[in-house]
Amino acid sequence: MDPLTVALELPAAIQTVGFVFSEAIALYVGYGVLTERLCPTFCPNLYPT
Amino acid sequence: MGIVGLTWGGLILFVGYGFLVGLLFGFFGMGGSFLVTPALLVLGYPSTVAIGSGLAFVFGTATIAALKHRDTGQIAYSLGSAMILGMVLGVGVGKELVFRLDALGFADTVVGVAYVVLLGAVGLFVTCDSLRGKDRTKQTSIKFARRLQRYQLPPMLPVTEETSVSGWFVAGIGLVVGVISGLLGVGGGFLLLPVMLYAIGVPMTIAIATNAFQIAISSGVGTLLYAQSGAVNLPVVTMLLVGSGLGARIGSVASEIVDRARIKQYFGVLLLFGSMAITSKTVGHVFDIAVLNRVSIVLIFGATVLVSAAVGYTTLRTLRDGDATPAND
Repeated sequence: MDPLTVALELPAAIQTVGFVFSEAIALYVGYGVLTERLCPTFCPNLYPT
Repeated sequence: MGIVGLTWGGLILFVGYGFLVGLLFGFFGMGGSFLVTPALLVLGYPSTVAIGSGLAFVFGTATIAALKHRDTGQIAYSLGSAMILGMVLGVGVGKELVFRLDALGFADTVVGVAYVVLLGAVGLFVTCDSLRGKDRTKQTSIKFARRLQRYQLPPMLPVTEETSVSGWFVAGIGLVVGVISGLLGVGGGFLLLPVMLYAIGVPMTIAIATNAFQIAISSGVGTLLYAQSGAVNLPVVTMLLVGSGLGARIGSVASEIVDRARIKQYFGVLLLFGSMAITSKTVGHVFDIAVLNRVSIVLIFGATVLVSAAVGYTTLRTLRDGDATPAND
């Protein structure tokens, strides 16, 4: 692959990486709130205090 | 009918499958890609897309896991950084190999055979090791790790408080694992975990946490390389990640509850099932036997469901018996 093709295709590739990364962060935070806030109440055996 | 280019059936399949793979990943400390990439292959995706999407999936799950493990402070950053250097180089080499094979028309067969050999070999090793008993394994691993740690080639990286290993060995191991990662679309956790345990002598909890960190970075680079060639199916990766995010958290908690000795046995059996599924798919493809395609789908999805159920059952039984150790959360 020549350098020009690599440069032209890089933005889409960076977007893909950025999307997956931001999705992972969102899931980490979202599920973190879900499991760590709700589980002590609803599944106390998994989160002993 | 459906959304983001997937039918409702496909959507449910990928979210559900992602959940189970996430559960296993959280439990075993591996990317789970050795189940994702073969699953995409048996579902008929081209090998380049299956590998690129597998790497993108691993990037997401490993990022989530690395964040989770960072909270518990178990990541060995210096060791991980040396490994990453080698892995990033290796991923680039692996990706080049796949596209060259694809241009020659050999990618599907070569990737299939490589999966059979690799999953079969690692699966057999782990299962036999597990059946032999813990004491012997421990002795062998300590002996091998000590031999490697004897070579004082700077820079030396700390493994435990008393031991250290040469950064060159670590980067070299990373390079080999990186090539396999880029070639097969796997994070490499199923190779890195035994290597870190047996060859380098890293304690289990630190090995699992450091793996997540290493794999997050190297699979991110791999995703970038494959995305440049348009070989990442984002809708599939997104749905798999949505399911696996929750599964990984549950699996991570389960790994703190269940006896570690049980972990390796499940791990080995799972790899062997993966190997059998790809064997069936490759033979079916070469000899044009349609029924073997269905067999491979049943094997790979069935193994995931069964081993996930085994993990869930063991966790619940341990909790019921009151043997659980307190979770770090």
